[in-house]
Amino acid sequence: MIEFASILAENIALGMRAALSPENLFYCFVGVLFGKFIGVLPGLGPLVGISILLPVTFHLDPTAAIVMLSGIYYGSAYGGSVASILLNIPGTPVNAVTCLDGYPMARQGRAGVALFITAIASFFGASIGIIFMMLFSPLIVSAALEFGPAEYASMIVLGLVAASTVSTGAPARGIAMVLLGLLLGIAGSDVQTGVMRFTFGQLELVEGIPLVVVAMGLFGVSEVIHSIRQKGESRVSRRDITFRSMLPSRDDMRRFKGPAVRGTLLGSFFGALPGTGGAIAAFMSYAVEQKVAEDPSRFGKGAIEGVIAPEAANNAADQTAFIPTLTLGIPGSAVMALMLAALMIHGISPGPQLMTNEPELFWGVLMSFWIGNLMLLVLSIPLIGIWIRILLIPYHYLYPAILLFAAIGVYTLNNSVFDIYLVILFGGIGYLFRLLDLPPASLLLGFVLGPMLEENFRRAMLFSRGDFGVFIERPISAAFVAITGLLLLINLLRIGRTNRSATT
Amino acid sequence: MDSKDLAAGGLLASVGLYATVMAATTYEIGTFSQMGPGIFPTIVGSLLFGVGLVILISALRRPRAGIPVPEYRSLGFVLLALVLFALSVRSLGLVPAIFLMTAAAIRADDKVSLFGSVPIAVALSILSILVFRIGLDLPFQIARWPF
Repeated sequence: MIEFASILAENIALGMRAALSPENLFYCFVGVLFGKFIGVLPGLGPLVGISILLPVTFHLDPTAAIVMLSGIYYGSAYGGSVASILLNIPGTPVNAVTCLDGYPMARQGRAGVALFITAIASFFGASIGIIFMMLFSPLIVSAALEFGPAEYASMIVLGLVAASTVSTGAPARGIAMVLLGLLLGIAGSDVQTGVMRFTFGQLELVEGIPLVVVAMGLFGVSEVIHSIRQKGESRVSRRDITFRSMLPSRDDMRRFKGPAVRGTLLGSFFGALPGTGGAIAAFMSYAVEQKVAEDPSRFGKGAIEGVIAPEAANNAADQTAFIPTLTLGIPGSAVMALMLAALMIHGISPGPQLMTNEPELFWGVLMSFWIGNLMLLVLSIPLIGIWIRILLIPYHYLYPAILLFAAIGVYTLNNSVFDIYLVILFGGIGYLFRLLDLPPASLLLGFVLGPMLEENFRRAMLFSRGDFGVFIERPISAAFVAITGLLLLINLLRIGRTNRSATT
Repeated sequence: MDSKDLAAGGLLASVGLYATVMAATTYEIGTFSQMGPGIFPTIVGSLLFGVGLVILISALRRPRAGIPVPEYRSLGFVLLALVLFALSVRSLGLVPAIFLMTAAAIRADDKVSLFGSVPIAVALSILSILVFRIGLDLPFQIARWPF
């Protein structure tokens, strides 16, 4: 125990040195600022933001790259609550629940208090989430170092199935999109034999379809196409929120502790699991608060607990989502898949060896979360007036910028115009997916994890001399297979039930 | 009949079928202990074919909403904007490409006129030069004569 603590202290010091270097501080600030910005603007979320800035990170040092991309991610959750409270439109999906009581608070003239308390709750949730990450990551890594290819293959399958079915309304669509993503990930030359697969004779596709192109097309371009004619005029009063009006009353502060702690715990738990995450955690914690409240009828009419708990939950979840990604190399969501891809682009192979091979990166990124959250607290409370003005920027000034950054970013990867045409193709396909309700996030997960799955699957089968039993004879792998089977069974029942209810 | 599910299922099933046939016939399958490059895409492709069929078939017995009408104008102008950028960034340079692109993109909506795109393009040009040319030191030609 003492040994564990002293190693941890050493790592914290190492991480702090890395996180406090001028370069990393700068990119941390850029990340959280940009994250807060896209979070504030409804219709732009972390997926769009990270996709747009992904090409930029190619020119950075890997630690700075991940520090910046993570900043966008957790920064957007801070920003998203601003639109939820002032406009009753969630800035990002994880802030949807915050509308329920945040907007009524604003209508009662308590917008300032709601904004203040969400910033504090977010910081609280994130801080505890980071502590969980610091404590649990080393334990998970030491367990995962024992994993062989069979464990890896079945863990990836479990991650993919969970992420594409648990939180989506249509499990069959999610699984289909994962499979489509796996197929896209196959394109290029086979690592083991050098055979060209699905390249259609295009020399540019030998190294596979670039991830940036897929992300930019599916999340950046098709999102713009969808949103241009959707946006109504935003109706936010220009009235400034004074610092005085932000200060919560003594009664508000008394109500803070319980919801914040419960929200954080739920958020930390659901954030670390694949397939769940901020949105589900926020929803669950809201439901819990309603259950434990003395007077549940206050909810929906501006109960301050109804903004504290979900905001603590989604920010805690944002932090613990990094646990499986950085310790196992298994992303639980599309955003985390992009994070993982950014590492791989820099030649760093994700997995349990990351923490031992790249301690400076691992702990540096972790410590940057503290710094980034502190920056966000400052950005959120004293500077709230600026964000309210940003909320008023009309979409028609923004989308040309998104398109431009997408085009330039992709072009700079290989100085290749071909890549821009690929983005156009994926933008069109992405829009078709949107019309048909096919979730592009599942496709991205399959795309990123596909090569890893194939490699581990082939290696496991090689070691077992072609015996499929290897996946159920090894206990850890067997557990993953069992959970996967259970998830599929539950979803099969769900599909059957929805069909029956639809026909009657 | 649920035409959205019908189209989605049909699309997914046909991609799956195509991938399966292509992988199984052109790439080496190998054995389970020595897997060739064809086996994984064959498995994934046939699973996709299966799930696609499930979506397709369940659509047949369900009366529900159709496919939403696509925003053809947004789709056309956004893709046109990107094509213009791709065509001009090398031959004309970065700034002219930005002007062309912004002009096309802005017409996806009625809120800003073609002339109104000029100040946006100016702002975007300054921003991109600052970020990409100066900040990240990437070798962009700001503007050039194609002749």
